[in-house]
Amino acid sequence: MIEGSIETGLKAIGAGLAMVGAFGPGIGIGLLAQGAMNAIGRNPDAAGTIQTNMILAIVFTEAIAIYALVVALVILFVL
Amino acid sequence: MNPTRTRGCLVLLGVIVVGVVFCGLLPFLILPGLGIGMALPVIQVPGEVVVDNAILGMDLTNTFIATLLADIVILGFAFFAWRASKGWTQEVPNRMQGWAELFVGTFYNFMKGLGGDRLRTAPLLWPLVATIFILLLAGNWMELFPGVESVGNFHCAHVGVNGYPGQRGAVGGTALLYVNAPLNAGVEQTEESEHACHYFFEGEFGRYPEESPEQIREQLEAAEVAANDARIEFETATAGLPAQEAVRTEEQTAQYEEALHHYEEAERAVERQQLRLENAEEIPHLVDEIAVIDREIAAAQLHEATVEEDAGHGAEAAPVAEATTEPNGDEAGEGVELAEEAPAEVAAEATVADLQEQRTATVEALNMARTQLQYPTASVALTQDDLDRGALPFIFHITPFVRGQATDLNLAFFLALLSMISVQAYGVYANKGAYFEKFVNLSALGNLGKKPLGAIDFIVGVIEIISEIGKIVSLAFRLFGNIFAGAVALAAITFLVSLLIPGVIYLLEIIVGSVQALVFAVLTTVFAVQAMESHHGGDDHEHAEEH
Repeated sequence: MIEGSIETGLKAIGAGLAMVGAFGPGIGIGLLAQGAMNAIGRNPDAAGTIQTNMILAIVFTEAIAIYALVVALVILFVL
Repeated sequence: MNPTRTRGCLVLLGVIVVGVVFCGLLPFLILPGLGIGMALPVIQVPGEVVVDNAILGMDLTNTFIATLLADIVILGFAFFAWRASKGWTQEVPNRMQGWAELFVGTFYNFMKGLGGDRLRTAPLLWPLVATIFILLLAGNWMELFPGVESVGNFHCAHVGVNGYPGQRGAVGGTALLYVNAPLNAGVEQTEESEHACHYFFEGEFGRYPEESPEQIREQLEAAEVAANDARIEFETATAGLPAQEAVRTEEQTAQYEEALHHYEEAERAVERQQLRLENAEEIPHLVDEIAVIDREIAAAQLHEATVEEDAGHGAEAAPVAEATTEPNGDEAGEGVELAEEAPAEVAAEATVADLQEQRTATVEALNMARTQLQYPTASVALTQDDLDRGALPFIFHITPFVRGQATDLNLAFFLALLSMISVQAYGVYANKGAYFEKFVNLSALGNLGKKPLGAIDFIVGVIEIISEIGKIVSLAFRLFGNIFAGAVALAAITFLVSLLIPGVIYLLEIIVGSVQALVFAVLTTVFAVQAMESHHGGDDHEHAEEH
């Protein structure tokens, strides 16, 4: 019926659950991009500045998703 | 049809053909057929050790080798730029100098946009930031070279890890993994199989020829004689030695170990011949069994066809079915009635499926017996074709020589630590002792009598400390997480579809590698500039140009 150890299966479940944490930053990055698009729409001349600051902000937000990924990887490969 | 449309059709057709060949045929049929299918690499978070005890008791890991290679590439680039610009003196740039200036100049302007004049005035800020960026960029991009994470030490897989059979490479002394099925995740290595692989790898035995049981019996007798001799030798050698280990001298211990080693080797040789004998005797039985099962399958298939034909013809089918279905008498006993041809049909199909399962199991056993005959103590059952192609039925794996430098948490963490300590240093340089007011707001405490709400400022200072530590962790894990996850994604996609599709992931990795390098440098700059701003009255007073 169940092949392989329960331990491996539970680890897989744990890793999958940990990645639920990527849900928030996904929304956050979308909101950031929305704000940037609106700003560029209002002021196309400032597009360069806006883009640079958007990328910076996106990197910060993405870091939270990366934390979730690191926890998932730790569960899978270290524990 | 107009020529543009014809060309469009041809292009589409070409894309489909290329897609089918490269994503379907090659990775799933042709390459595994040749024995060079895709293996799943061992993924672990710490860097793998390539050389034990290399310098001062420290191990040399493959990520460290990658960092050294990145350093060499960067220094080479700097050297060639220096030479092309004649020692940074040539005013009109030639091509190489032009490239270097373009690259460094763009980056400098970008940083100046963020950091302002501080980049020029603060000592060593620009070199620090540029070094971090160039080092990370070189390291992250070099992770994508062919050979990184695929060429390495061929060795018996560690216990608990999945491995694959091996084969000798074309060039002497090289070996590769033998993967003859797509999406094959390998066989797990147990302690026992690790020992077997170890003795084989050390050269204790090689491939034995296919021999008859009589010939093997002769060899078994010879091996037993040899083992007896070795035992006598061992006993005479140890007779002269004192019994307790503590009393023996080094030389005596060495003698003892050697005699014991010979004895154990001889014993293992005997075990191997015994294994070979067992399997050689079993092979004819298994071959016969397969022939019997084949006949049964043929009969069952014939009778199944008959049952289907006669399904509309009434009761005659059922007694006929009963007569020919002999091995699985229980199923034939049911459903013999007139109205129930369906169960008889189902029973017939079940019989064929059961028999085929039996056949697969027996063929597997035959393969294992044949493998054990030629490689006793083998861990994997290989077909005769595989063995003739040179496959070695023990569980091996490859530890890469080079692995992306930022996939090691050590590099990411200590680079982050370096960045944040530099930031604190710049803060102290610009603001002297007043810098620490940011963290421990003593003046707010002092003014508690006059402004009680100033206690909040003090707590904000404590939070700033926590935030600084958080910045170290976040810098490290952002870099590590992105690059390590990228490497794992590359390995996984290449395992699933080895050709063409990984190109997309490579493109993503190029982008992600450069963005993460840039972000690390940008964040260091931004934090340093923030630290250098004067803390008190920043909003009310104008920023004076310092130094």
